Amino acid sequence: MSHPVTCTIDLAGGGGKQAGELLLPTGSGDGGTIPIPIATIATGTGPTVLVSAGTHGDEYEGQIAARRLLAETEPAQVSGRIIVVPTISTGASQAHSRFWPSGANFNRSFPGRLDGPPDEVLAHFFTTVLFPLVEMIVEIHSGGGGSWIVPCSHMCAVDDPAQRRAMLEGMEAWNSDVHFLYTAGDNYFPTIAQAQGKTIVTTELGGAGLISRAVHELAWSGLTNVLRHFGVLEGEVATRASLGLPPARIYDARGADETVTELGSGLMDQVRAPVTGLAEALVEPGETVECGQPIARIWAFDDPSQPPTGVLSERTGVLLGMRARSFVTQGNGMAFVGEPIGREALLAELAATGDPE
Amino acid sequence: MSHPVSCTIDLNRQGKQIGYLAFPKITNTAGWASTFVHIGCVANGDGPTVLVLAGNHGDEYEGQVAALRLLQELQPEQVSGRVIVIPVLSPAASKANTRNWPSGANFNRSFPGRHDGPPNEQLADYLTRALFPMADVVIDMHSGGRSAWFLPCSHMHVVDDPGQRKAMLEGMEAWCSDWHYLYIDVNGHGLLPVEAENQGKLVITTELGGGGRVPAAIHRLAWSGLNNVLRHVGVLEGEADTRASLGLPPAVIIDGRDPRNIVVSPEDGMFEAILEPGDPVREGEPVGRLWFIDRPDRPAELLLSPCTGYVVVTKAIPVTEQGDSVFCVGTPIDRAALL
Repeated sequence: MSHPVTCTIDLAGGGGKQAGELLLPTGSGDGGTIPIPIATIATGTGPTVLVSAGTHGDEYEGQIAARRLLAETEPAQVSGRIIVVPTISTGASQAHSRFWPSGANFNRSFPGRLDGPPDEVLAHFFTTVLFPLVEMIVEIHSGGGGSWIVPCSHMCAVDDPAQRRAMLEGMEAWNSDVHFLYTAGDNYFPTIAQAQGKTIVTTELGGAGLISRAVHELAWSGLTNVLRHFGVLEGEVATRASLGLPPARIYDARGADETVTELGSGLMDQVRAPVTGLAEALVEPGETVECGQPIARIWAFDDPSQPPTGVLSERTGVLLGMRARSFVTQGNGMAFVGEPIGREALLAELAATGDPE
Repeated sequence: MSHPVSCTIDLNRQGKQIGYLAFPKITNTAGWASTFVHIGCVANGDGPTVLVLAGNHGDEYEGQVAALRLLQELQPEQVSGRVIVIPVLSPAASKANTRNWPSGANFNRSFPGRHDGPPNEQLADYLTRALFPMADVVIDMHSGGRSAWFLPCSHMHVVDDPGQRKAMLEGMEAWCSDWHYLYIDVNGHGLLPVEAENQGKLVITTELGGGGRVPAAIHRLAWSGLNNVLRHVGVLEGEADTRASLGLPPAVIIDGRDPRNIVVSPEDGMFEAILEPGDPVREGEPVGRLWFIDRPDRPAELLLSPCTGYVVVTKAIPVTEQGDSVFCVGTPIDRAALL
């Protein structure tokens, strides 16, 4: 059966460099489509890798790095195929918003449905057409306009030992100073890709509505190094050791009992705003915190004669991310803290629980 | 006729009071409604009157947090004269994380205001006719907001009166930031600081970073600068610091008065900053580049510096429309030359 999302280029067979669009029906009954840019760079044999960015529209770091990849990579540098979707959520990107204009969060639209709204139809195309074409996926996120996260690559700790190791090594190939483990829900993009056995590398490249030069550089160096690590892009793979850097630190920020909340803020739900007001950061992401330590204080907005209220960490560890917007409403996700974990401990977890292999 | 803006505290009373200004709120859900803008006054004996303002633009939170903290911590015995604080001038914009009021009004283009105008002009009129006349010093704290990253600095308009210019330069320097900036108003008229300057006030303004997040270091600069300026003008107890007394090198003053150095985007696209505020730049060197949202196969267009100097501002939100300001550059100027 043909899919309602059509593609103007040959994703599986076309060699060289192709640029075109995915055409997503608007579903409005007028026969209109939403064009989503897509491109491939392919030569000879090798793995097929999907590079995607702009799942959330206001996370521009990867959208820019993916465009640069298309501009600067020639087919002769590639062994296999790179498929690039530089901005998945085009309407959200144009609007500087995390969500689609419809309100849909594309990272909660998976696995998608043919008879769903446009975001779910597009997710269904990824799940049933794009993912099966590829062996590896690089899906680039950041804190977007709403939060600042220590610039890093991150991963879900999948249950299959070989897949967990491949994802750990892919994550490490970004060569960021920090990595962390997170919990994804059943309707997330990475969850569905992982369930198909893909090696998926995801990131949180800063955010907060401001992209520093250092973050643009990390987006570019990390993306190209991961593609070299996967063997699809020519050139020597750099490691932190070869770069003269100390080993990266890995933090565990998985939800208790593998739970994940459905609030829009996702990771930030670990610490929530106790009151409404203007938040002032007291600790910066990357700094250590003690359980019970104030990481921010909230100044009363409607009655400035009231003293500020502390926002307390519920864990001892390292502050990994913090809400960016100053005005907070009681209950807003504010921050999350991770605890150090060694890479060997991460790999040994599965053996310890008696999983096969 | 009574003014549409009323004040719940007596600004001529000694001691510490916190109340609010109230003025008509235009809404579909309530008649006879008011907007509250909180105001505090800490007065003790003789000395200057200083008006501390923040949240002129809603999404510029650095000064709002510092002013809320000042209201909490400032006690009458520390004051010689009077400090009047309005920590959030545009509360609805602050709640909405926007520069402008929900009505679309830019409060910093609403001056001198009119008592019979829309609410933003009524509030501006109250500042112009009631508050500025009682003040000797007006501090109005801005930043790049969520749309721009500005070199964290205090800045000033270059006024014609030599005595006022010197006092404003010294007030600007008392923030003790690494950088200062001389600005022009490129978008018409109606600025709060200009109205205060026209009344002869010592006006001190800032651009404390921006870009949608306030790092802890910027909160510290907002707090230390505000307090030091209050000491410098003699209203707050304690010795004023200078950069020299803090062991810091002299600040760099950047002249931003040439409008050619405010660079706008030639077309729609996705802006990537190559240089950052504070970076030195040569004429013709790329400061950023524009990627094309619908055309990933099209090479990026480089956006070049019109002068040799320093980058002062870069656009923080990458999605860009034709004509949006994408960066500003400027050239260093000696303080003696300015005087």
